[in-house]
Amino acid sequence: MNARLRELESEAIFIIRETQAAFKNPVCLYSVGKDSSVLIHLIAKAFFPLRPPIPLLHIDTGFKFPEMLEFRDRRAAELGFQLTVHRNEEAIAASMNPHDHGIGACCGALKTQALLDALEQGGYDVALGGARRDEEASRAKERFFSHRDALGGWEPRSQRPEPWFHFNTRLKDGESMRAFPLSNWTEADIWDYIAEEGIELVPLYFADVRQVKRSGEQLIPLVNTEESGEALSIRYRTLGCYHCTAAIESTASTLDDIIAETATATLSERSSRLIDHGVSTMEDKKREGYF
Amino acid sequence: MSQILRIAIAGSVDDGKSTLLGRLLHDTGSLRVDQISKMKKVGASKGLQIDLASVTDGLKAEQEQGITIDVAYRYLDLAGRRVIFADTPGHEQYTRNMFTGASSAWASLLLVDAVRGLRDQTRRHSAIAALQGHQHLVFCINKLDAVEYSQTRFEELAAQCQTLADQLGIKQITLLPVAALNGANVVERHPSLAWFKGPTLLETLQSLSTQATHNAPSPISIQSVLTEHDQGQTQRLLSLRFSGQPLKVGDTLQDAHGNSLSIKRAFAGGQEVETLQAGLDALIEIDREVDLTRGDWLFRQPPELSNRLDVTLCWLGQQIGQTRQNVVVRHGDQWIRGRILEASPAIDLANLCYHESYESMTPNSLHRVQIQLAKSVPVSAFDQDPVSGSCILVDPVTDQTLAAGVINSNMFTQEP
Repeated sequence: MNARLRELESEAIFIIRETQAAFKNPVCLYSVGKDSSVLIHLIAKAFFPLRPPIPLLHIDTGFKFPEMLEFRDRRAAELGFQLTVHRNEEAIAASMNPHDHGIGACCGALKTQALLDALEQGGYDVALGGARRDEEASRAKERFFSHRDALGGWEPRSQRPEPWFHFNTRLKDGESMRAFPLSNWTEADIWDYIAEEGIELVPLYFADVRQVKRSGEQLIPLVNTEESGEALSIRYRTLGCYHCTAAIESTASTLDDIIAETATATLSERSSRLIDHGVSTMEDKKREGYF
Repeated sequence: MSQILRIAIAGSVDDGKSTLLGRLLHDTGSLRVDQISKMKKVGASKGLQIDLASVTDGLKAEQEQGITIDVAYRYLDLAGRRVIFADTPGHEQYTRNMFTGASSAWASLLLVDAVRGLRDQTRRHSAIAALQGHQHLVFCINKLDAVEYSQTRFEELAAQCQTLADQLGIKQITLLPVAALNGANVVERHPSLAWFKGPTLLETLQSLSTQATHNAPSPISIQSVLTEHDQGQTQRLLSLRFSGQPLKVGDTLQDAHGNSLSIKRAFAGGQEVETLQAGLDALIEIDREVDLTRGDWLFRQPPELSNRLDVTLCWLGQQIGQTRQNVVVRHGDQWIRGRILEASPAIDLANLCYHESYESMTPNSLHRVQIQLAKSVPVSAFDQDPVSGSCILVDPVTDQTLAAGVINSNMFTQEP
């Protein structure tokens, strides 16, 4: 392994072990994407040769690609993780969706509220996540350990100092923490590490001919719908809900192709994630408790 | 030797830190098309061609006010080497965020506005960088375009920066004239700076060395004890952090009570290994049952233990700090009850010596304090061992972080 990846790996393992050591009841948010695939691989490594002592939690919005759900259950079992799936059944039964209710309301109910409910029900005081600082401008401001108030909200104007890996992990009742071991990894690091370690990914990251429809400049996937679109060779740079994750035209069908494509991409990674670009930004969502 | 170059960008408010970083990312071709169009869009709303700072000022409150509140991290690959920039805020009230950003780095870019010259914040940030052991300060005399690229003005300010570095005992410094707004001497040279024969900022960054590791037998902190019970068997492993000399399977160590133990098996990066390099992810199995828990220490040579800490710190709390105040101290991997016994006067930023009389510890001031601890710990000077040579102080009631500091530092003196 090259020295840069090894340094990032060792930093991430430290944060993972600190999360397990400093809190009573940790959990890992598993979104099934490439970053959380790297994260659970690192959790397994952090505790090797012991079994990973941190359970996984998946927030299922009901709009996840079917390939993601199959992959989720299989990978969690293969790596020896306990997995809990949480859905905001009430909102799902009420047909919450981004087209009728808006992206902000939909994310708020199916992701943020579901996450806060799941954390409360599980009594988790810290949740690990695969967010990276280079993904998005407000995430560039995150600490490794990011404090959340009793309502799950983030206050970016009063983050705790964390010099020299001396983390202030103390919490009052009801407060919680988010922990981000991959803070210093870039998109290119993630792909290099996946290639180096042979980490398995959901096939949607690799180019294939799939049904999509054009919406402005975005290519929206057609999943669970009778609607017809066009068949294009596409792949996903990031994976979220199928309503709000745009595909990119690509023929990159191997890891080497993807690494080469990432190096020359003209758009940034999350430009295909609709939630980052509405009236309500990532920062707003994080203030309300979004990961 | 680390392979990643970690650099803090510091200096007073409005000296152009975020603009300089935006310029560097832009001119090295490190930004994507959508990021550049966003910078142009934000710029247009302010009557500018492009708002370079908006690439790091990612919070709404920052964009609205045109200031940096918290540190932003940005990543750049320069000639095959990763550089992590911590773009830190210049406002005095956000010194705690600057402190966090600077602590991850071992070199700083310190910006000086060519029109306004060195200010208290320039001195405060330089002092914090020096206190944190930064080996190299790069003074960027910025906004040279606003003083007609005057060589005289540059040399006048460069001499003041040199004096500041001398006061702080920093030997490696670079003095650069730049204009972040138009990119002069950032990545490209500029005809109006033809008188300057030194490097560009980019060339300076490419020549900076990464952190050298020392080779002392430093104390080893136990981050956690991991156990697993399986079919009547218990496996027990210790995760460690330490600096200096590597550890090997078979090495003999001692705990604080003088019990000897040896390393039976070792793991790092998810593999069994023979040698553990200093760092953050070592895991060991030991050859006997000794009572050890998170925060305990292991030693390779008889340790210097003390229940008094001599800490040179930056007060980061929002409230005033007092002597006789109770605190909890995070040192190594443990929390220890403590009390501030004595505190020196604050550092006078004008001459970087302690003031003559003590008043109190106000937010963002630098002091040297004596802390009584409820138990003894190994103490090292920060430059010998960052793990046992640094700590943070936390308010036991509010859980707010009050201060962060380094141990046994003689950085500042009573007299100029």
